[in-house]
Amino acid sequence: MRLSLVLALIFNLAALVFAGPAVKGATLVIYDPKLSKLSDYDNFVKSLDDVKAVEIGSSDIALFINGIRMFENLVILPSKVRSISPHVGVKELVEYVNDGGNLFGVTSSAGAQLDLEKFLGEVGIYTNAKFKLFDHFNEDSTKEGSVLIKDPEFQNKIVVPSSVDQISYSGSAALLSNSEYLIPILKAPKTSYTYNAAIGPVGSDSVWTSGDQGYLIVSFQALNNARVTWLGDDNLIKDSKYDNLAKDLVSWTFQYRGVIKSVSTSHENVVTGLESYKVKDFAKYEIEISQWSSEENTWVPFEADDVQVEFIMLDPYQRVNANVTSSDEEKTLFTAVFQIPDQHGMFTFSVDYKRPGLSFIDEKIVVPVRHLANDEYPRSWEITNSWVYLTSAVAVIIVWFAFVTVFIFSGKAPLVEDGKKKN
Amino acid sequence: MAKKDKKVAVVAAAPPLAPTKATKSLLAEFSQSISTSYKMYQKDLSENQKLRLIDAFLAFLVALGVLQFIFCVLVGNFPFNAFLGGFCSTVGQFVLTVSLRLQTLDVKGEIFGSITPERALGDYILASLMLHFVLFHFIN
Repeated sequence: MRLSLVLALIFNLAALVFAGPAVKGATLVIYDPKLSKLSDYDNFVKSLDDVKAVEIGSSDIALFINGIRMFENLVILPSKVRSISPHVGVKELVEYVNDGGNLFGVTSSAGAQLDLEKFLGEVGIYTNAKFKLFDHFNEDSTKEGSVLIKDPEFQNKIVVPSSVDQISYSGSAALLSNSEYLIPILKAPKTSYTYNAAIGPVGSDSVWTSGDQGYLIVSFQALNNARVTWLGDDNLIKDSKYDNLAKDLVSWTFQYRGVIKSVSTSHENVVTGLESYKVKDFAKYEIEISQWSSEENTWVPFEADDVQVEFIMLDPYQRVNANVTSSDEEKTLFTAVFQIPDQHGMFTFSVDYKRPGLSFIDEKIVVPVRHLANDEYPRSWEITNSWVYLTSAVAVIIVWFAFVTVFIFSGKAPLVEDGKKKN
Repeated sequence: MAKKDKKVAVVAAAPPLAPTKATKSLLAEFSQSISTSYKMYQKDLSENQKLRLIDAFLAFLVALGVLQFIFCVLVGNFPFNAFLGGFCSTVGQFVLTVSLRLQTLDVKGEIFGSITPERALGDYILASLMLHFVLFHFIN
């Protein structure tokens, strides 16, 4: 029993050591044949690895079996079916992302899966498929009810590095919460607004977003680096015009791109080379960071000039840039040398590298910083100011000695005489 | 303290002279008592070598203490322990020396009757040595 446990542990450790990024696993695509056949999405589905496509509502769909997550990536296509499957609801979707799974959710004006919308609401993307985006200044003449977005500006170049001439958009827009983990990709045009297509633009109640407060493509990266992307129009993945855009979004969401990790961290006292510090010492902190390259299918050095190291006790006493000092074929070494503050206590070396579009790195090492020992202060005579006081103290002793000597030998006579006189 | 005691003693001795100058104002009386005290003190000094010696040493300590204080005010108190050490050595030595002065000059044995001058001097030397021992460690 114990042996098998140990073996299992070793096996797990080995699996950890040899594991690449979490991109190798299967992808589950959930689609609604009543809205679009799977073949409509051929372009998109072909770009995915190891796909398993299932019709929505099927009882085969389970994200977890015996508590083990079955898929790395999940694609939910537009659907009018209320429930994804008997085993999958909002709760399961949240669990799935909390466990590190990635989610690519698509809605369209034809339909938005209710659980998916609820889940997006949990994340801070408030979308509602009943509301449709209109822009009377930029209508697509070739396609009724579509908004033409010329030369769209993608807000995050890490998530979407490629560019598109124009987008013909037909779908809803989302309001965003102020969550800092949201990564807005595409804003609605300034002259656009969203209203309930069933009611019409009758009043403020029927308007969901107005102007560029609405978003058309939004990504999200959780603290555990799980990624979610929401797309408001399935034409963007159907139409081969937008292949590059779809590919960018999918490869980012499914952790092919923008994946970095810290390989190792270390710190030492510059003078002693030990990992112990006293106030005003100089510390050297090193962190190695790798980036996943899906083209080369390997880890490559990560290039950046904004990696910062903090030295924290409640507040950061130091926040310095870590510079690239060396790099090999797999990783880059970032080094920061700084002075420990004149303050003793428990400090934390912290690299909290959170950039929208890149995996989060949060490395913390707690170290004690001691105060000076009583023999580490400079002696008095090394400080010129104190020479005055030292001289005076010595002078007091010398004069005192002279005084005592003279006092003893000054004899009793005057005293006795004095006493006699007074008597 | 010691000087005040002395004055009190002198003033106490003064009354026999007072009646002849009863008409004088309070201020004049006061200035006269001071000059009388001063004269008495001068007389004591000229008659008593030990008193001269002790008072000269006390004056030296006061001067040195004031000098250090002025230096500290002007230059800053950076090695504060050194300043405290130097300053306290003058103050402490002053206090001890005043004690010696009281005990040695208490000729009539009114207050320190049981303490012989030799004992007083021995106490003084021991206390001074301890003071300087402690202060030199404190100066570091």
